Amino acid sequence: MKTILIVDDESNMRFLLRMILEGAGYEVVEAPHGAAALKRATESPPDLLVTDLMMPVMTGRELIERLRADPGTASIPIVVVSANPTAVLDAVDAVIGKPFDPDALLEAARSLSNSEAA
Amino acid sequence: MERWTTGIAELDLVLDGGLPAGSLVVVAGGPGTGKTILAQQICFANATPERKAIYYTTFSEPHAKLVRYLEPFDFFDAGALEERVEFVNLESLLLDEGGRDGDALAPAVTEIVRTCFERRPSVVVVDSAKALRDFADAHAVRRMFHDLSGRVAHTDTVLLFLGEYAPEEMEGDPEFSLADGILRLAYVAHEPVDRRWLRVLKLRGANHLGGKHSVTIDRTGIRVSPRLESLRPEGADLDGGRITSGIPGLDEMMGGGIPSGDVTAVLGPSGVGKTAAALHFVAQGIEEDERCLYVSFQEDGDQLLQKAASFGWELESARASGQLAIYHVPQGSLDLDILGTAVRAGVADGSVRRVAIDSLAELVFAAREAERFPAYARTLAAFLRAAGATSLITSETATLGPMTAPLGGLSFLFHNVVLLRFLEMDSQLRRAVTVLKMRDSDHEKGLRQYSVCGNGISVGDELEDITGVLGWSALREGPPPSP
Repeated sequence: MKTILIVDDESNMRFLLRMILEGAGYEVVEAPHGAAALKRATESPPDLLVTDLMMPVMTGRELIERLRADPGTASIPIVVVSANPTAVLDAVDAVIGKPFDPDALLEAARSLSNSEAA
Repeated sequence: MERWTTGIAELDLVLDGGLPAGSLVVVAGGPGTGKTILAQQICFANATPERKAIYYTTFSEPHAKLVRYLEPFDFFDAGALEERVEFVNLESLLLDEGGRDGDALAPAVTEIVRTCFERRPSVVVVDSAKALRDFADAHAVRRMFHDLSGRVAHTDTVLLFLGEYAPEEMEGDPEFSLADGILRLAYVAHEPVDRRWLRVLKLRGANHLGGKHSVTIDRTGIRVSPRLESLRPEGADLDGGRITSGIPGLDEMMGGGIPSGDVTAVLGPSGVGKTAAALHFVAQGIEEDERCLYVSFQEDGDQLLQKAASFGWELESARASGQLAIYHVPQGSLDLDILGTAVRAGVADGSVRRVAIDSLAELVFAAREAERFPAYARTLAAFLRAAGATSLITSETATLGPMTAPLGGLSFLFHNVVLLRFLEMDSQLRRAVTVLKMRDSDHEKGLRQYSVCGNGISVGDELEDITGVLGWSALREGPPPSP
């Protein structure tokens, strides 16, 4: 089963993302901000990371920079779910706007986690 | 002291220049009073890529909803999100990480202080700060305010705490004693029109404007109209000359015209010709290439121009060129401070020479707080004079019958008072004009007949040998009785 790490400071967002992704057969783990996500991803790299940008403690932008700078996490596919999908982010694999389209999220998850969910 | 703009020029005026850098300001008010819109407007006005605005939410609206409701406002820029303005939720720091070391609010305080020092935002908002009470007791909340106020003071960031605080909570709760500033927003249901207002209860280091300032919300966001009486107009150098009223014969009655900069009240019952007098005054200004402002509470711009045309004055081109500005306020929408702000803006550049306000009756009606009206009217008149304008203000009196005290005792507000009235004479209803008062100027004391016809008002000869003119009829004095 593919594991997706979702990172968002809003618990309701995490709830929705978890509901949709678990419904499609993914295993989901959560982090409420960039620092907690970095720790989790370093300890156990997920198959896909879905993250917000604007968060306390550590922003999504800093999280992405740190993941890409670490050889152990540099290859994790990253999807950004942001209120401003026009934000320039070269280092990520996909950007989805908020409020998000569940089909777009699942399509990104399917293609970036590199296989159908188990 | 360095200050950050609110993005609202009139609010900056109220705040003596804006929000002091490094201050903690509480924005208090009930639901729907505009706290979030105001805070967002301040964020977007100050945020740059280098000096972002950080909007922390606790248990308020989800960010997607917040953004959706902000989209209609002109100040909102979706492209600025994350680049200049960040929405950050403190929920996890309060729920998951709060409580460690016995202080539920410590992680949130650390986050805010760290952000202020490391990222140097221009503005940080906490919405809702009152919700923090759900996580800690009064002592911890007081400590949080103490810590934030003391630490953020070493930066130049403005910290805004939003909350639905009731007025009684502002009396002694810790948020308010430790805050550097308190802005209170309110919404009052009141006929004929509901009113929002803002009051600055406290702002350290600022000589802010007192009183309730009118607030409206439209596509531009929050608009603030300062309480007119709280402002101090700066005087203009007036030449001491006189201008013509435009009404043939009236200037002669007024000792050669209206003294420049004076405010003249034209009183009379409905239908006697007050609006015609105001149009005369303005049409004369237009003819003399002066800029004019006409404030009307009854006729709208088109109706006024039609009325002027019926007297032979073509004012449409003056309106089109901007020489004549007509500010029409439907009576149901009349708010004294909104009107005051509009009039101040209309004469601000000092180029308007004549202002007509038609009529005072509507203003008095709109003054919900009757006790403020004399000071309001005096300040409005002072602004007009300070801007170098000469003004004519109409006001309605009883249609028939003995003349009671005109303006309900407010005639002291005006330099000059001209009374238009109906008069029963020789079994006919006629019109007569008298100059009741002119400050520091001689004037005719007699009564003259006048007519309103195709070319406006025309003042005739003085009425002689009559008596009882201050009653409801005029009686010709007959020959003395035979001995």
